[in-house]
Amino acid sequence: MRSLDLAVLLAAGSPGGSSCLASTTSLEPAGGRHTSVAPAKFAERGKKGGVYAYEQRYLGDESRYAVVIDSKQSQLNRAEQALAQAVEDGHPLLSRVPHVQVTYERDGMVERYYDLTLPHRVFDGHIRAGMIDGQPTTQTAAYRAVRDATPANARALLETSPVTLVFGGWDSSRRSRQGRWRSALVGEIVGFVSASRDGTGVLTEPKPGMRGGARVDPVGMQINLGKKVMAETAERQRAELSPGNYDGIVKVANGIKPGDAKSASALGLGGIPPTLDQLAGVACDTIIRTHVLSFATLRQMRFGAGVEGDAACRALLAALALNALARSDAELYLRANCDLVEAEVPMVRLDQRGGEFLDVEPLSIDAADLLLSEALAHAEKVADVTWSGLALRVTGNPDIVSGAVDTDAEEK
Amino acid sequence: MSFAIVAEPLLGVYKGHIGDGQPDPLPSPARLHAALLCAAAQGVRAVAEADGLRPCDADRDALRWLEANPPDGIAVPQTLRNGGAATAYRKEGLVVKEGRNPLSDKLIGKPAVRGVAVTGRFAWTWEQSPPEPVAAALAELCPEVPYLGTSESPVLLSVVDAEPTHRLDREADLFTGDGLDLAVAVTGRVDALEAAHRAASSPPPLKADAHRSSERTEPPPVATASLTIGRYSQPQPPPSPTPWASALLFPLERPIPPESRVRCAVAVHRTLIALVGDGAPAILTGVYEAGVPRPANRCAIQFLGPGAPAVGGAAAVLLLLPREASDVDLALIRIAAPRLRVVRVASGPFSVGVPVEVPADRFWPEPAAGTERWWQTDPVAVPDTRPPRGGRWSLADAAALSVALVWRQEISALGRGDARYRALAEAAAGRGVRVQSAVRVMDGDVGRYVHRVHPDTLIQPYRAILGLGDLTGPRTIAAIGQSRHLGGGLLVPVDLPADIARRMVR
Repeated sequence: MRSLDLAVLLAAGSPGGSSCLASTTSLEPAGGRHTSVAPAKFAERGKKGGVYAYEQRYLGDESRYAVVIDSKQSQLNRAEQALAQAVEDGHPLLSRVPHVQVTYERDGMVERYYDLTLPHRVFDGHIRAGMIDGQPTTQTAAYRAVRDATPANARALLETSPVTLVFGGWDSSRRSRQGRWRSALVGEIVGFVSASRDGTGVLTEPKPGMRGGARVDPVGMQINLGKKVMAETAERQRAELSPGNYDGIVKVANGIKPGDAKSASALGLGGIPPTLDQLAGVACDTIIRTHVLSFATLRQMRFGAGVEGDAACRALLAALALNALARSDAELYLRANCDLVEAEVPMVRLDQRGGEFLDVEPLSIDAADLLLSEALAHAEKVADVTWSGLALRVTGNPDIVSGAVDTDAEEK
Repeated sequence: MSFAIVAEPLLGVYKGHIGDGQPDPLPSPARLHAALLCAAAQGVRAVAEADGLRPCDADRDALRWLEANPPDGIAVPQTLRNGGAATAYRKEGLVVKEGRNPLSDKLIGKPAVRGVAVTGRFAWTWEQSPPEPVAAALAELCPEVPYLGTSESPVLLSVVDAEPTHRLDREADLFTGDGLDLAVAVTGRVDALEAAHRAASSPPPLKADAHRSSERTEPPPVATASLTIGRYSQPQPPPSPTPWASALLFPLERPIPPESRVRCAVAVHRTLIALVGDGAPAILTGVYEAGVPRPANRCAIQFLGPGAPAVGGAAAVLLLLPREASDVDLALIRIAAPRLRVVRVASGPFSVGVPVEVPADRFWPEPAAGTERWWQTDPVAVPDTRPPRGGRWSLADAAALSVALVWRQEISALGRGDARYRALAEAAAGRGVRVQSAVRVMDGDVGRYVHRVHPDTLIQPYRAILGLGDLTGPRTIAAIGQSRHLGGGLLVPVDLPADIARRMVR
């Protein structure tokens, strides 16, 4: 089986190259096929509590119900997070990936955010609302070049925020010439579940099982406190309590009459009787992770470097996407009670046009790093690409930080 | 030679929006055209123009050929539409000032599950191959299309063989009938989309780029110029052979009232047998030797009043000739029929004119525009069997069974006795037979409606309106029920407005 090397990526990034690379992996619960997994939980409009996202899918030609274990957005977030973590860790190669940093100062502490993790990447509101060297970000020549980049020449983005080209971004608030970059990498994890059929053969949407939630306090299942003790306990824990929670407890305490006592459950005291109101895990007979890297998307970008140079830049972006994918695929811990393992070697296929496909070896992190370094060296050579890490340093708008604090307090 | 563009959804789903955000059930020809234009204008085949790109001449010619030649057909694989209450809340990348809050991230909720699951591939097909340069350009352009709909539904697009499931109905009336009404690009669509792109592409002035305290999305206007709607319909399978091949139509000097038709039909029957003489075929007499298999239908004698279509205001008697009859038997009947002049009945003889033979599948006139052809029993029909035991059985079931027995060559069912009767009625329903307004006729003299029956059979004359599904065409003459061979159960056309007919089918 052929390795996924630079020559493959260069060919794919050139006219007549592959449409896409598809990676499919069969997964199973780390505890074994008999165990359930906790899918992603979503809100239900107009109701409290969470729900799972079930959808009908075909497994082969069979219509089935599947549950979304990890959505496309979540999978991309994990890939970006893997890159961001490598940058934070000072990875010598990935630290060279151009990125934008936004810093906020809150309570004397500096918080850092990157285009790698902000929801709309380089077009995110936190970047646009900030300042660069004392000038509003949107008024600087460097940022305007990023916003004005088009498929005819995306060089400014390649050298400022290549993750926007790989994972997509939409400059949605701009009045015209909006940057609209589709994600070149998409993916998801879905689990197929059993479902019954009605008399006409139509599948019935599965209902998730519910599990009991309870808390045992060995001191006593109910602990009631008088006004003074409750107020003093709350005061001692004030630093650990949210402002909203603290205010609520004090209000309750002030309402306790002399000689009376009320439950101190808000202070974490006492037990909680079991109730069947929490979503249980879901048993899946088949779990599939799929990713598609679209070379057709990458080929809709030019970088002012001529035919060979543009192909080198596309190969560089593809190598970056594959690097993020290799890193995120290596971590199969998604959330509590959702530990997965690969049930077989991932199947990676490269479209060769005309119904032909090339099976290639899946990339390990080391191999992905090697591929990225080769792609970067080639792009430096033939396309004069310069990747030297932090490209734009943005000072965040302090009004946003204060807004965030107030919003948190409001929610609690 | 045919030509097809095929799209294989890579994640097994298709996700797209139309109109004001409604889920798109399938990618229309217009969406294919737009995706190809996008690939042509931005991909490796695009050529530089000013500070941007434009499609090369070959691609532009190919796209204009698509505008002039909408797909003759489309292939729609099996799909399952998804939805549900699960909502994903995400930050939209905008900083806004809302309510009492100062600046905060805009959080929006969208359905977590959208789109349709797909097994197989979508295809757009043309009966004639495009000119070679156009075909070559499309073959090169297709692999440059990454997605149809949203980026969550990546596709592999290529030019390969495909068979359509739906064909473009160029004469379709979009307000009536069924089919997939899809957006189709017409001449000028490339220009309209390019103009819209140019209008949205000029950079705003520096001041307009400044960050505002309350941001909102500014979606560019949707270009709707040079689009039309094309109706893609599933071709109807050819109707089943008619139960009777043709009808000999004899003009009558006076109409025969409904309550006398059975008796008059019996008289015509006897007279005809007498005219044929010795050796009258069993297909006419209804008398078969033991062990000889009986056909589904024999010669049937029916009457039309002067109000019936197809007889030009005159009353008539019909001799329906069964499809299953041999040529010899039919020749004997055709020789004897012109000699039928007078028929004698107790109420007085009636004269019969010279017959003309009309093909059974072209007997009735076409349905009126905007209507669908249904059928009414005339004067009444009589169930072929007693109600089967072991469950509910309605007059509608009895009528569906009678239809199944007439089209016995087309509708088969397993089992015996009552189980088979039920299975036949169900099978008829499976072919689209629908029975409405089945009403029993209360009449003390059932002899008016049936000539001879099995002693165990309960006579329940009824009137009903029926749809015959795909069993036959709209002009076919047929009769159902126990008395279908002698003056009962004739199906005469009832043309219902299409919307009412569709509601009745549901």
